[in-house]
Amino acid sequence: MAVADILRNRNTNQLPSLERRDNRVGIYFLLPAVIVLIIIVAYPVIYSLVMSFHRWRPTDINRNFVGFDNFARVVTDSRFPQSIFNTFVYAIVGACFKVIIGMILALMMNREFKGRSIARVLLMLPWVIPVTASVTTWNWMFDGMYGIFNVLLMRLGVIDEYVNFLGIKGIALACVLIVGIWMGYPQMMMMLLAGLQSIPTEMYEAAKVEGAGPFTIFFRITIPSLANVLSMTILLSIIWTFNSFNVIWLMTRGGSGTHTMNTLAYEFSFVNMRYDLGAAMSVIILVFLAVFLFIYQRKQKED
Amino acid sequence: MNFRKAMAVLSVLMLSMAMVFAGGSSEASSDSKSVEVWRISNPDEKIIAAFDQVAEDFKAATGIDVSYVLVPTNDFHTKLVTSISAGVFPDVIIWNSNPGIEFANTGKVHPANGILEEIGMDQFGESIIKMFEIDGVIYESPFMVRPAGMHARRDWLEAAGYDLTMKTDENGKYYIEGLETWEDLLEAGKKITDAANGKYGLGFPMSRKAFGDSAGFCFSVIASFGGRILDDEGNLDIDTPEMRAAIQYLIDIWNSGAVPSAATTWDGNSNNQFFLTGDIGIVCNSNSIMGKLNAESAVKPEQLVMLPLPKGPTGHGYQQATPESITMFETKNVESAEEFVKYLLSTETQLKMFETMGFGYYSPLKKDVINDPMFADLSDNEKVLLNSGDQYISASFPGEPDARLTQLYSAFFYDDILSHIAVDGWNVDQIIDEMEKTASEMLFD
Repeated sequence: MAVADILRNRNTNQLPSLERRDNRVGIYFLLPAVIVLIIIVAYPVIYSLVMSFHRWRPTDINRNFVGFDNFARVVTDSRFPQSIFNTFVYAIVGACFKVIIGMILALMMNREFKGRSIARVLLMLPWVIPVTASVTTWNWMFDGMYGIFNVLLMRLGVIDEYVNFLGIKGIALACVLIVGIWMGYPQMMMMLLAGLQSIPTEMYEAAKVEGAGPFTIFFRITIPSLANVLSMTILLSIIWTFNSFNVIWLMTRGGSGTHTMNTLAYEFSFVNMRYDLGAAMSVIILVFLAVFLFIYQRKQKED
Repeated sequence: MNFRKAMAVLSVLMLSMAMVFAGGSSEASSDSKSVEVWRISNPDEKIIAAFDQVAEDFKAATGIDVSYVLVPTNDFHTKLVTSISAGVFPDVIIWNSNPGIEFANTGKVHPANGILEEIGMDQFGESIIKMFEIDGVIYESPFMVRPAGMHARRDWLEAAGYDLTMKTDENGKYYIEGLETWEDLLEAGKKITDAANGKYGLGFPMSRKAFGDSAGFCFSVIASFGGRILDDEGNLDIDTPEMRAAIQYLIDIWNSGAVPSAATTWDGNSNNQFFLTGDIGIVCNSNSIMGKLNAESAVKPEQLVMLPLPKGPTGHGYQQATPESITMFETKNVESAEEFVKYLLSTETQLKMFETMGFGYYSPLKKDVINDPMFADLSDNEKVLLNSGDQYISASFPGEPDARLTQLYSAFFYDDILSHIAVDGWNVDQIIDEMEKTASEMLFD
């Protein structure tokens, strides 16, 4: 029960006295969590908002109100349109592939076979390995002088000279996308696997008795039964991917045309030492995220 | 019921107390007889031992505790900016990126004038002191320098017909005939490149990930060609024949094929690594390479030759390598910090440090230390590094120290020039336009 509901019930005075007293105790228990949320969520958001309307640099103590100047500077920055395009490509294409791969693997892991536990653990590894360690490895695999991909493609005769994957616009974005998908599919796999395990086996047995093939079963039973889980998984994946930063920053520092809105916000704040521009960029990101969160909330209510 | 109520109140109280204690600044909790010193983390055991010995001896002499906070090079700037933004200042930092100048406007940097007057300004030379001074206030004390220079493959150059005999000019500067200018270096790079066999002449990073190596190379070329960002009156002065010549030279280097295409994604270690694995002929780097060459390494110590810094059309050669300096902040431990800095800058302490860590990663800046017999018996390669000490320049060169130019240097300004050349294929006009736009926004907004 939310704090507001408890307070409302408390005021209406309609509950039995014992329950009212219980609710009062409940409020005390909730207070620490509310205080923590205010400190770690509400305060930084409000602080960023205030910062975005001021000239605010870490190296200067003068802070003047500048209205919407910071927002104007951010949206007219030559990297801004590219960063929006990249963010949506990274979030939507990334989310789709994560869900598709996650679904295929979840279907496999939902079957009984020897070594299933080991396979599950191995498939979870990309999610468990520290990001810096895996990104360093990927960097080496994509390396333009010694990378394993270059060696393989050369031996297969696909290329006749080494390709600098992370140094070519377009290809670099595809590379960071591949790494992002590789790191994110296990989470999708686990969520979908949990969904698959909640589908009654009787439905599959009945379908088989009726002569349904694997494709019919998948599209007529599995997908409709997973519809809610699937839509929530896709939405959550888009939100998480939209927010991701570390893969791109560690692989390219936003170079070779791979800047997303998050890396650009970081660059404004901590590279260009413009907290004000970084905050303005963060507020713009928040607006985009608010749309996704609104859809998420509505979906949750419907469910 | 009473018990539950009591528990609830107790948990609120405990959480509040935890937050109060967790939120306390390090300044408030620190002991007045201790100094917190931030410095670059370096895995070299000899350097760790030298600094630890200093802390131990200082504690024995003064009773003041020194605690080092070791910060990785790549994170130093971000950690410092976020810490200072949160109002938490370290007592002392030892770093090489002009932090005192960069944060001078915060009013929290403790001036070093008193300490340097006590030690003797003439111990460091005017040009070095000037790197740390704004309007008569010295914000940083010169400590040592991490020498940087052109590391080259002796065997490759000799095979290409170069005579690598080191000569000395009338000013006492070393030079090698045929390898004196940036143009000479490019020609040499082309001659020793054998791309078909994976051998490249020049290992200059042209990437955003190189943590100063790209920017340092680009800035050194621009300075040697006479380019600058601001004129004497502080106005933008980018579009000059000197700057255009420097940019054209950087484009020529990229187009020559002597730099591997992978250089656009190199990180801070790549050029050293590829030199050490024997794939690159010449790299411009701080002196972390020399110490890694041994009988087992792919490149042997005798295959290394340090080239004196190449000159540009100005007749001068420069290397962006701001000396490692000591910056003090106005914390409650400032008196202890001053004591420590004096101790660290004393000739005895520095000689003892060099005894432990040797010459190489660090080179001395203080004249009494340089003139010590310890440095009379260096190898030719080491002598070249020591001889280049007065050619190291800061990000404000050729003007007075300017916090904005230091920030411009840290903000990928020079790295992006190289990226635009190598990734975007831009020409001189496009790059000059972009430089003017970016510099104007960053310096005057």
